Amino acid sequence: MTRMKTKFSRVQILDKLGKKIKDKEPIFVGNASAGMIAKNAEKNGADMISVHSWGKFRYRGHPVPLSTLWWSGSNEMKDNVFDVAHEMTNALDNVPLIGGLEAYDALFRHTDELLDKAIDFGYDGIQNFPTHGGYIPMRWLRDAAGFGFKREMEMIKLASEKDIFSMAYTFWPDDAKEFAENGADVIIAHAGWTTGGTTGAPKPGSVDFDWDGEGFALQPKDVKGTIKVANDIAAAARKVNPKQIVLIAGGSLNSPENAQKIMDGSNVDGFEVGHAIDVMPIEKELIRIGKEYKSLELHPDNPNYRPSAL
Amino acid sequence: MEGTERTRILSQLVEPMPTRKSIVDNWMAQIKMGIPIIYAGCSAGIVAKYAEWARLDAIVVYETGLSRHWGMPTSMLADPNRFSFPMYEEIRAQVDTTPLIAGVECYDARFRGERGLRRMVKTVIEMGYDGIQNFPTLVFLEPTTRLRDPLNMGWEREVELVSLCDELDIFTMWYACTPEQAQDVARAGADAIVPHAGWSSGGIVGAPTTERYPNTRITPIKDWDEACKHVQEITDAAREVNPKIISLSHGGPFIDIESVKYMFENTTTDGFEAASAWERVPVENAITEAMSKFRAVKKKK
Repeated sequence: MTRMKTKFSRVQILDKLGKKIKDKEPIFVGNASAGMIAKNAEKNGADMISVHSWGKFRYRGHPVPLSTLWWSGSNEMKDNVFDVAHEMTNALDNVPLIGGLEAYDALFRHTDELLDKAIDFGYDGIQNFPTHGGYIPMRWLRDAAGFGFKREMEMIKLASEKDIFSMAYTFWPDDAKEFAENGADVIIAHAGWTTGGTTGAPKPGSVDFDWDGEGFALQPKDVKGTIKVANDIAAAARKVNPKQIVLIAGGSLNSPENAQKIMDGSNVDGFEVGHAIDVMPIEKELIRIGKEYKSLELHPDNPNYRPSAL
Repeated sequence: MEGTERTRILSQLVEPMPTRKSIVDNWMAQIKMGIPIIYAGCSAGIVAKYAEWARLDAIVVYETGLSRHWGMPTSMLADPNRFSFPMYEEIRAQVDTTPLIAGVECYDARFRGERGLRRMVKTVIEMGYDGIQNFPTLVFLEPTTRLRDPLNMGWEREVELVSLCDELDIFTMWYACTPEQAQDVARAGADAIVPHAGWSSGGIVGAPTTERYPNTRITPIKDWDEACKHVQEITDAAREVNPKIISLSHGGPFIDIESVKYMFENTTTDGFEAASAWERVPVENAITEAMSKFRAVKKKK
């Protein structure tokens, strides 16, 4: 009988990840949208579990892109990262739990309070999610108001100073350098909205929008594009810190097969998957099993089954 | 007149609702062709979405499902209506055409008396549910039922709710664990009964298939033939009262295609409720397979 979830210090998490790297095994971070997902991710050997305020949004069956087309307020939304903390710690025993914090939250002007609250709620580390990193005009607008991407950078720096384990989602090589300088323990190269399934990003090339011209980095990418993001971000970060741990998330990282292709084509240390471990397998299995149930046949002696009357 | 204007606009904004007759007719037409009625217990938008996609026949929302999504064995939560009523928005967001049934705790003390029962029905119908089911229910625990009936907060109240829905022409499907319970609700005018074979066993956190304790009907019947016999007895009893009542079996060892196929081959039930068999076991299996494959990914040499 497990009486409590093991707590992990920054050093303990880094030791755990260091061992994976030494053993030449990819780091597998499971982004959990429900206790059942977290529990099974731990059982299946995930090295860390991460949780976002938008995770439940995915679990409610809503499309991936909606979670990033928003300004602020996710620390207070329904089923936010604090609301679901207990559901997660209750389902987990012995794996680090990382909470996604909205650094640019106007209701948390004092970022140290936000960090302390996450640790109080049972998180062993933090990451910058949601993030304005991938949308340049939003960064201008929100930074001008004092609640933009710069806050994400400051939060990672403050976490490092407070000796809290941190992971930083990164969309551009220049940001990768800055996060590395500010002491991010892990940099997650973000290849944009995850594709695949009925709620994934639109298919690469299917939306008429000048992504680059609009300063947008979240557009859906194929496997090749995902590999390029991984390598570009890793190269930039490792210029600053040659030992920088870099993971890949998003893009076409939506199946174990694609994960293998991406690991074969890149130099990152592992991956973080969410959509690929909940929506993708659940969608496939439930549609299959639902149709199979409906194709069964009733007993011929059922008094209401009247084939002869048809 | 402001009031009239408001009424005019609001009357155009009422949530559409299938009639009781249209649900029953649709189901009877399928049963006539030998097609089983399959409905799913859904406590998260994601599983409701695919129930509608797979064209299942109904979706039922109740509070115990939440414990499944928390990664725990199916557990009865206290004050259940406070959990289940607010789930409406999340589930309705994914469900347009499938009848959406509210699992209600009939003996919720906040809805006391005859007046309270009517207010409970008003609450769920106003929200936009298309029918009512008795969950959580007292059918499992004989002693609790007997002790609560003198307070008018027991099994009799579950039967009263069936009568009220029948009077109002609201679709009902009612859990029953004994032939007597099935006859009670058949007489009260239920459209369907759900013969319940106990907690669903199987999967990662399923109920253990132990022997049943005296006076309880909640531990799963483990033997397939015994469970089929249980389902058949309840079905036959209900049909004695109303030959057109629909029987939708649930629970116990009926957890996957193989066992449900066996049930249809060995009973004359009309359908099946997949709850753990929809939102827990297949999900556990699918995510376990995906996660173990992710764990097996190798770094390049």
